Amino acid sequence: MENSSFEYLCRTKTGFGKNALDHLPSDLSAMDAKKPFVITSKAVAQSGVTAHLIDAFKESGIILGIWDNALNDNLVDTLRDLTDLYNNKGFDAIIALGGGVVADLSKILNIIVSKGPHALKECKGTDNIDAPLKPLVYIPSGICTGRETSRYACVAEYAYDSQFLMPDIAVIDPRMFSKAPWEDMVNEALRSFTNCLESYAKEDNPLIRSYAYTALGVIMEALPNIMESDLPNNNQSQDQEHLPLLAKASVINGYLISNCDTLVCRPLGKMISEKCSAPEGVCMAIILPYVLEFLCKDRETGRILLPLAGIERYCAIPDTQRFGKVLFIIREIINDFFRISNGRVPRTLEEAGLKQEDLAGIVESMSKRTDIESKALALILDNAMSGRSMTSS
Amino acid sequence: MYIPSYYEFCCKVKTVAGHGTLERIPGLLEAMGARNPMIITDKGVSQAGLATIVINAIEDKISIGSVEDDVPPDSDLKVVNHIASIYKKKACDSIIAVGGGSVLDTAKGVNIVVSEDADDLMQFTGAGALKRELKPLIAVPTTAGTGSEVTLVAVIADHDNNRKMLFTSYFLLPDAAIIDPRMTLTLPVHIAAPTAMDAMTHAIEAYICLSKNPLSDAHALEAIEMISNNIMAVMEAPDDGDARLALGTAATLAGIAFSNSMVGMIHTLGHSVGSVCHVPHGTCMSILLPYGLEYNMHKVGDRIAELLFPLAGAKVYATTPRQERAQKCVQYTRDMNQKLYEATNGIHARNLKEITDRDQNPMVPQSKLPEIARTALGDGSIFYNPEALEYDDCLMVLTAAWQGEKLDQSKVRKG
Ligand SMILES: [Fe+2]
Repeated sequence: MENSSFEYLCRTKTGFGKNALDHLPSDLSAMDAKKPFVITSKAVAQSGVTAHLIDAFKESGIILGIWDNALNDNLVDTLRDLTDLYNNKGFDAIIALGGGVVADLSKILNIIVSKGPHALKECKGTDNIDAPLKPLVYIPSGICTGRETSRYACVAEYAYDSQFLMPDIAVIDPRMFSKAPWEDMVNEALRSFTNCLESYAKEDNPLIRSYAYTALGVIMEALPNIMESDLPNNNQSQDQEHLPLLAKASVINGYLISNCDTLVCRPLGKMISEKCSAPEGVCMAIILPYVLEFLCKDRETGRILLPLAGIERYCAIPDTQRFGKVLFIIREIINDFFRISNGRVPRTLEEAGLKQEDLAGIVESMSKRTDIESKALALILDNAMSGRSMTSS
Repeated sequence: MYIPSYYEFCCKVKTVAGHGTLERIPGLLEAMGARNPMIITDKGVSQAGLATIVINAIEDKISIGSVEDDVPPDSDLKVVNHIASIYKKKACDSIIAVGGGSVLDTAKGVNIVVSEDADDLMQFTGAGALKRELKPLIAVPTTAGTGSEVTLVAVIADHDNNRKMLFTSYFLLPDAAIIDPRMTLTLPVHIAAPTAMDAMTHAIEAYICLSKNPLSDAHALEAIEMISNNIMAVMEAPDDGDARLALGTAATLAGIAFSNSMVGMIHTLGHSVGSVCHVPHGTCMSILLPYGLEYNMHKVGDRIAELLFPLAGAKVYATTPRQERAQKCVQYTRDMNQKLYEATNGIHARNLKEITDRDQNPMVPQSKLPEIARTALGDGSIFYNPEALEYDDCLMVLTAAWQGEKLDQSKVRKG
């Protein structure tokens, strides 16, 4: 066996599918929660989906308090207000409904109300929480990034990393989703796709493979729908079926990033995105084939075709051609998005607007985070700039 | 892929698998604020020297509050309450359970009593009695089979009142499961074989039965492949630490799969053979596995066909014509039993009539089959089986499995 040991933890119970919310009241009762505090944003509240949540609790005897003012600024002040509200009204659990900011606020609020006001400072950093916090539920309602269900939370200068920040429950109920911009969906899909495929390829850990396999299956199913929906024109999704599917993949992505801290595409894609016009997920997908070629150069890796192709197609393709097929599938996805969006989703870093002079800086910051040599990083970026294949250079 | 309209998936247990992972225990406990663990185990485990291996691996880094090895083969209410009182007396703050199903059940029971600061486990029977996180519990399985390190149930016998109590709660899940091959390295091959087949059956039933879902499927596929690739290696070289580790890891994966999807008729019938004739669980699983596949073939042949991939590999899958894959999968499980029979010098039974006790007496007389069939009808797992079973159906399958003959699939009633 390649690695002598591995670890895996997913603290979250996940409910997927039709009327999933209806299971939430009994799940919360099982954790002795009687008065959960719902944290969401104006936009989510105005879309009307909170009605479904209230409906699900109607006959449960559990009273919900809803706060819908999550914005992107003054978060530290907001946290103070939320803490007062939580304590004064006697809440005993938190439900985060929405995307990134809502989840970050909810997780950090949970630290404060579980461990006291001093915890805001004391629990900063990695593994500084040593016991479970109050029950925390996460409900996605649109675009998510995966961080919502991860062990990470950050508001201003307060950053936390602890297993106890993973929600106790995540609920993906198709009723809770409203429309989302097409390009945001593409970004979300490519982010989860990249993280899942890289962790499947990289980690000799059957638990990571199991979650990644599942999420990749979901994304492969959703991709044709997203492509066919031909949305760059009106920029709004007509068909909402794929939003919950993407959320399912993102929620699993959150579990995976909590368990693989040596992913390459994730931090590298973020650094690239900061220097160009393309969003993180798209940048990650552009570099993915090059990173895979580098990571897999000395290993038997045809196996990573399995989650993309399924058992039947995987077995039909000869062993020696499987890895090549993986690269082909990734490039095909990126090219399709490029074509459908009339070039708005880029295929190369050059098309993404990254400048040659920014490469050195990115290589330098990335080399501090990984044990991959600067030379190799530079080669990955260089090839990804023009879309050249690694083997030809 | 089959995706139910709604499903849930949960395994809160941190899985720590690998060579040298016992040494991770003090760090894991410390991260949960625990400093004085109690070790719960049984006489068999401690006599095999396994408790000592655990103690040696951790005692430099953490003080051990107490070591209790009084767990009987069948967990017991009085023992639970007694161990809980020692836990309190010695001011322990966490539990390390080293052993199989009964040790883990006992540890879960003790954890309820000490976490709720009670004297008697009986106060916590019934669904929903537990509302809070319990004390840190680390499971160190010593058999690579049951998967009880990742299941949320505990069965405790109340011998005075001749009944068994079932406790079910997510709070019963251990905080971590440690899979260290040192715990299974000395398990004799004739026990390793059926326990691995038990794990195999968990994964296969998780994959073909009614409550399957994509996440349980993914865990099941990994588990089946790992067992198939490593079981004969352990038979041939029992001290192969990598292969032992693979079987241990696979058993945990299979446990995660079936506890999120349920098992079916192989367990239904297996539990009944076990309770009527006192045959070890894994032995029943090995023998009944091909029959469970044959009986359900007309309902879930596609799923069974897919299993040929993790069992036999991509090449065999690709070169077997589509319509023959499911039957080949059944044959594969029969062939495995034959190989295990040969590797264990005939101790691993291939059919029910071949099972003997220590004195070579047959354990399952044919005359008991009707009683076994009747017992099976009361087993909860019967509801998750793809095809329904009534008394006659159970008896038909049991008779074939007793003789060791293939099931006549034309005689299966198709509902
Ligand atoms: Fe079993």
